[in-house]
Amino acid sequence: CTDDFEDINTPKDAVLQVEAGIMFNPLLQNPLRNYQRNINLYPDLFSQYWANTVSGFESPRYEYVDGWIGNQWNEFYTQTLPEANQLIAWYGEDPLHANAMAQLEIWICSEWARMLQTYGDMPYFGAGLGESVAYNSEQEIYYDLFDRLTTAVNNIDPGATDQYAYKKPDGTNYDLLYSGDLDKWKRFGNSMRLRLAMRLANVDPTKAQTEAAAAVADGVMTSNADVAHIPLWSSGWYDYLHQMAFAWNNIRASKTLTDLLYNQSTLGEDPRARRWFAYKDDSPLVGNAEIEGVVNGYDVLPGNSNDFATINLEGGYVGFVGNGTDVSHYLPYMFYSEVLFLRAEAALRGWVAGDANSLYLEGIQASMDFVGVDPANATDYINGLSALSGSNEAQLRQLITQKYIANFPNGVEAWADFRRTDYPDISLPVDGVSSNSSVAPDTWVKRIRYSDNAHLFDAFFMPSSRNTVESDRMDIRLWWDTADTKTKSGGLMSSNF
Amino acid sequence: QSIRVSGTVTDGNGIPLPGVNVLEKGTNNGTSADFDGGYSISVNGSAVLVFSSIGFVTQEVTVGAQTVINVSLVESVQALDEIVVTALGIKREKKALGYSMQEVSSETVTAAANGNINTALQGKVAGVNITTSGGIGGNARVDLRGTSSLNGNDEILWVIDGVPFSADDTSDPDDLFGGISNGGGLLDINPDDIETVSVLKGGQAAALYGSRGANGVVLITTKSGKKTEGLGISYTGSTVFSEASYFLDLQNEYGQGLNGNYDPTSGAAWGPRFDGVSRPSWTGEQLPYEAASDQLDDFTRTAISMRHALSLSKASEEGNFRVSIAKDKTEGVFENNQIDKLNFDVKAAYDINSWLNVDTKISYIKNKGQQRPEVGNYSYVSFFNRMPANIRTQDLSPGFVIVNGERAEYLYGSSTDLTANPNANNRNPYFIQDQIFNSDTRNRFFGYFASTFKFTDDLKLKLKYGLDTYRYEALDGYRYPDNASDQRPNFNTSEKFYSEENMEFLLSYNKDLSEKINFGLSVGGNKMHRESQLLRSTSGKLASSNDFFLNAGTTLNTNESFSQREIQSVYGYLDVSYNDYLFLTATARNDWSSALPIDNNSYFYPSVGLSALISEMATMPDWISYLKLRGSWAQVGKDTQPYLANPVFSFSTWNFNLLTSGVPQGLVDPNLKPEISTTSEVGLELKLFKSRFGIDITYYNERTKNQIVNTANGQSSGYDLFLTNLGLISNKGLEIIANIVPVKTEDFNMGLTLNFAKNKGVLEEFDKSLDGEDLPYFFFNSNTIPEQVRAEVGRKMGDIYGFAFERDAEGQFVIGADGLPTRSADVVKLGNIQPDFTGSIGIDLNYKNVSLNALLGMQQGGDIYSLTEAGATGSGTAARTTSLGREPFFVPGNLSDGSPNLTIVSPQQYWSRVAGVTESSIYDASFMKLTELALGYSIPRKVLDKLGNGVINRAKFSLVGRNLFYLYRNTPGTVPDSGVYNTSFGAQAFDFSPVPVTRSVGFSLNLNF
Repeated sequence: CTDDFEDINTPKDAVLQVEAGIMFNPLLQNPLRNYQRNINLYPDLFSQYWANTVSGFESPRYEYVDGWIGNQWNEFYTQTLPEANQLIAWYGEDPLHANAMAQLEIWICSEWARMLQTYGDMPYFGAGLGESVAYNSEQEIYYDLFDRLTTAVNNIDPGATDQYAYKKPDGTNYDLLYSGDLDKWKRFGNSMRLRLAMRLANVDPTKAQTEAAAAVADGVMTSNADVAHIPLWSSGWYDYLHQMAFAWNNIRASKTLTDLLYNQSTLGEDPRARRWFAYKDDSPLVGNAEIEGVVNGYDVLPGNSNDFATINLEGGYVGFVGNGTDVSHYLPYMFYSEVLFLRAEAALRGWVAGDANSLYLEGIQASMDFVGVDPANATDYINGLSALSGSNEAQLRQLITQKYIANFPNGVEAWADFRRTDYPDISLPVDGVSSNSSVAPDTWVKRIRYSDNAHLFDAFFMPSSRNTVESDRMDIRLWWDTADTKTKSGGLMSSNF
Repeated sequence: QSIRVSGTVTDGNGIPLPGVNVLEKGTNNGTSADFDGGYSISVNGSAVLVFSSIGFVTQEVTVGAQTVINVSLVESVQALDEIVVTALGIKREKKALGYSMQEVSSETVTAAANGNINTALQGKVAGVNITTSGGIGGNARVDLRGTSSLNGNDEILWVIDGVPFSADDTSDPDDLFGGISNGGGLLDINPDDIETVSVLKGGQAAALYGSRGANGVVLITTKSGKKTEGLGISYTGSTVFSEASYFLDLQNEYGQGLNGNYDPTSGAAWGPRFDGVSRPSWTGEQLPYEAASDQLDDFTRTAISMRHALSLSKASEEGNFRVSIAKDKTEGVFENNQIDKLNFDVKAAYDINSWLNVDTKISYIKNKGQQRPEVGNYSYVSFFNRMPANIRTQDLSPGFVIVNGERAEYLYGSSTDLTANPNANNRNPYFIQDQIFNSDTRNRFFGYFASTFKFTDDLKLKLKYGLDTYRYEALDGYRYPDNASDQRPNFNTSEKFYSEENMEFLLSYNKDLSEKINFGLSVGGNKMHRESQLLRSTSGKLASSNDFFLNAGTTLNTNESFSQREIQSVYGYLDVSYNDYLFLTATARNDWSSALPIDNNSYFYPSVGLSALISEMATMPDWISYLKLRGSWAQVGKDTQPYLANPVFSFSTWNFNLLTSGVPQGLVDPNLKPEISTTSEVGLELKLFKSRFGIDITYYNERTKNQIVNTANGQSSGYDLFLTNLGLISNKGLEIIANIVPVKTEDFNMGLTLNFAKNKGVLEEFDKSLDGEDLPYFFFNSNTIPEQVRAEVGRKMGDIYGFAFERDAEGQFVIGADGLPTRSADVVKLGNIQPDFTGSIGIDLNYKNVSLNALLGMQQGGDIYSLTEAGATGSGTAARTTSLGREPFFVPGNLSDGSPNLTIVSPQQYWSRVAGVTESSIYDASFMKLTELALGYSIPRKVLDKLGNGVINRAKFSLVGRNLFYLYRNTPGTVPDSGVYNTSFGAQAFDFSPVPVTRSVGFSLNLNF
């Protein structure tokens, strides 16, 4: 009389297989999960777009907190990756899901890239399939990601209207990124390939050149309409920037960034400054001539830290005000301007056709347009800039500095660019590197260490040089990070060409 | 015709015996002797009086012409034939038991007028440790012989009159950062209905309850109708006042500011020393800079708990009945926090004829809670603990100002706009108190229907149906918007329906095989079916504070969840006794559980026990009245939670109202087996000097293997959990119960009860890494704080891990370049939850009509991490932050290269660092406290006769006190035994701003008519 035990032990609301979009949707929103812990407390502060204003938060002084960024490891490996694997298991062989699977592939490769630039070598081949596996080298993984992105882009057939689509005829739209526009997905895939190619510029220029040229040839983003950013539903709850920078008073604009908004063009103030930033109404700095930020890396914060400039929730910048209807914010993933700067750098290196200087100026213009700057103001500002000039290093510094400004608030990418090129000048923590950090004094943070869980369960598979908590230091440079800011001479590196 | 007979009953030494039953033979007419042994009864002239009392030979006296009959009862050797209720309601002589069980009488439970069975049992049973959380009406962890489970599957089974009673916590905060503890199920029990509480500790005791009894069983037998003189009416009333006590030690010397400078916009207490000089305060008003009154004390109120319990009972030869009703109203120490409880109970039994008896019980319980406070980081207490001492209550209250027609939270903090300031970690408790809303009601029906068929004198069949069901509904929400979350105001509602049915039969055969050999065999079966459904709707942000209902929500969301489990069982029970001094008991049981994989869902387990009454087998010196040796060996199987072994995909809605689905987080071992717990136990019971001294010693060794554990897994495998059989936990321990009667005279009696329990729970085996290294098990591992509670192979479970100071060879701090002590790179072991031993001392003094009962509870060893203090240390409010003065100083110690520390730091920097080093807030959890004190006065019979015309049989007035004071403790103002945030084992490591523990005094009145 135990025949009904199987029924009894199955929840009434259980399902055996779900529609692809239902699982693709949370994957697309993955970067929004735990935004504060995974992104804001690390890349956003390390890139010095923002500065911390909470005494006791020591990540800006390079301390590792497993309960914060350890989540990124956990969520990627136990949710994002298995969800992608599950979708592939269900629909990977189904021709009617070919486009859907290719979109998934582009997205999961992009998320892999975000993980890679955080940690370096990672479990990759066979990961997420039920057992711990070996850690693969960054090189192996980058090479595989190039292949996967290429294949995925090629597999998308925008004309195949008989296929399953994440945006359905009834209006249900699981494709929060491009609302079912497959051409945009192709351009996003190629742009991602270009981003990863340029990441390898110093360490593996041959591969970088090949991939960059192929990506550009196949078609990268062509306008601000192609921007990849994740919408935040106005009725939803997120620990996104408006919480940290406004509601919770956890961060303010970083002085590193706000200084750059005044010293680049002869015009003076960058017209993007006041669309992005403002003073809170109760700040004594309201009415200040300039937008001023906080110095990064205090141990004990000065009492007036929160008087400095912060997110402008009324300034009209689409990323901070949304679309005026159902989207309150957008989390940036890849801007069109970034793609132009990537092309400018590739042109500077002679890897793709085009004029580096004009691509560079187009990049700034694209950013101005996206941020919603009055066209006349944008033109004045751009006219006040000097053209790329001098040595390749000097030109790259100019280029990356403007790229850095334009990429705001995409701290993940800005931190990666700083580590690769060492531009612009990002300061060390003003109160010094924390003695509880694994970064040597007077040294910049270079990566995030593996999570506690990884050290507990994966030590056997880890690179032997960093398979203990002690040796897994956060000042170890990633594969593509070939030089150190400390070697700068006259503000220039000698390592980027 | 009727005549009145009176007299005194004494024992062999001429000492009056209270409570002796006096019955007119063959009738229902009876009474009991009062405190002085005196009795008075009206009987027929031809009557025979029967005097009986446990422990004495029953004596019959023919009344004849006598009007005064004084009786001296003879202590019987059968004194030792105490009858106890054991598993499945089987009554046995205690001497026949091969295992340890401890009984607590109704008087002991209700001594301190405690309406809460959890705390009323605290310290009264050796090996049972009870810690409370969540304040009045909150939950309690009841731990018996340590924890035997890695997955929290260590709950004790509560059985009332043979029917399992759900002790489930309707909600338990699952995170130490906040949450509300709503109504543990045990609070539904009415202590005044309790006749006895038997705690079955060992494996064999519980073997017959199967899976659910594996962690021990508490059997509650409720009162039945009795033959009494008078109306059979009993009333108990009590009123108890409680004060919030035992707050964290805070400093009162320095106020608001940073680095020694006054700053009225600061949230911390690093300002200058109070000097009384007038300064602009945080509200803008000029105020003398000085410590305000005790803010938390101002915030709390005197709690009052009132209780009335009434019962009527009667019995005849054929049957008995009892009806009781009880009403409790408890107001908490926080405004509007209130618990109301109603208990209604009918219990009746009747012999329909010579072969059929029916027996039934129906209870209805309504338990309603309102405005329960949050615990943890977001509790009122937490905000007060971090509040500088110059903040005045009158400025904080009422907590809001009106802005644009809306209430805006008002608080000092980091800027001059006082309404912009409050955020999730910095809030005005007065505002929250006004803002939060919660209420919950549980309506429970509980009862059984049983019939016993007596086929022959030897053969009986009992059929029983038991039901425990409740509907729980709760509302909660935030009335006003605030800066802590953009989802307020909001309104949420939950409903839970729970039911457990038990259908069972028990066929019993008893036979005297010869003069000396008695034989008994019972076989039975049970089908348990449990279901629960939960429905919760949340409004999302409400359109306005005035529309406080679901439909005004902007993101209406509803979730349902289910749980269903069935266990089917057959079991048998054999007992053989020889010459009434040697007893053998054996049991066997097989369970089938729906929660286990189909192929492994059947499991069998046996037990055997032996008891030898040495004092009857051999001649003993006069001074040894009783000597018994016992031993038992038992196995019990355990299943697991429903659905755990069957992960599936499910849906929920997320942003843009789109459906989402994730992958199951856990991987399930295809060969999952039931857990098996094996207990060996030996014991000795000794009574000396005519039972003036009694001692009961038990040693046990319990080994629980094949733990069904969701073990942490390498996340890169895709699953951070793997459900499998792992590990072996041993719990070895010693329990000693001693009863001593040092003084016993006509007017004065003194009794002492000592309980001592030592348990050591060790993780003997667990998972291994790929390198073959033993992996630890995490009882607590959160992503919000670095502290962990671990079990490591070969060690006592419950190691507390956290950051330690780095020290050099001389034990001095290693100082960093910033001049501050450095902390360990990784978390290290700093302490352990498990105490070395726990104990209690019960003292009962009786002098004539006056009685005094005191209960001292204690714990030796064990550690606790005071997050409460760590938080207040970071804010500069903790008392210790003034211990080094407030001038900049050089932290003693050397840099890591051995060079001297030349960097001066401020106390603010120093203590901010200390706050982040776990080691600095770890405390020894040893304590001893006066748990209960009751002073009673029984009004003499003569007075009662005059007062109430003989209607009142008994009247007792008592003054009671609970938690009056700690004789010693090491924690900084807080208490080590009541600070936890929930009932899990791992939570026992944390003291984190609980609802303040109270100190209570009150009075109670017992009347019998």
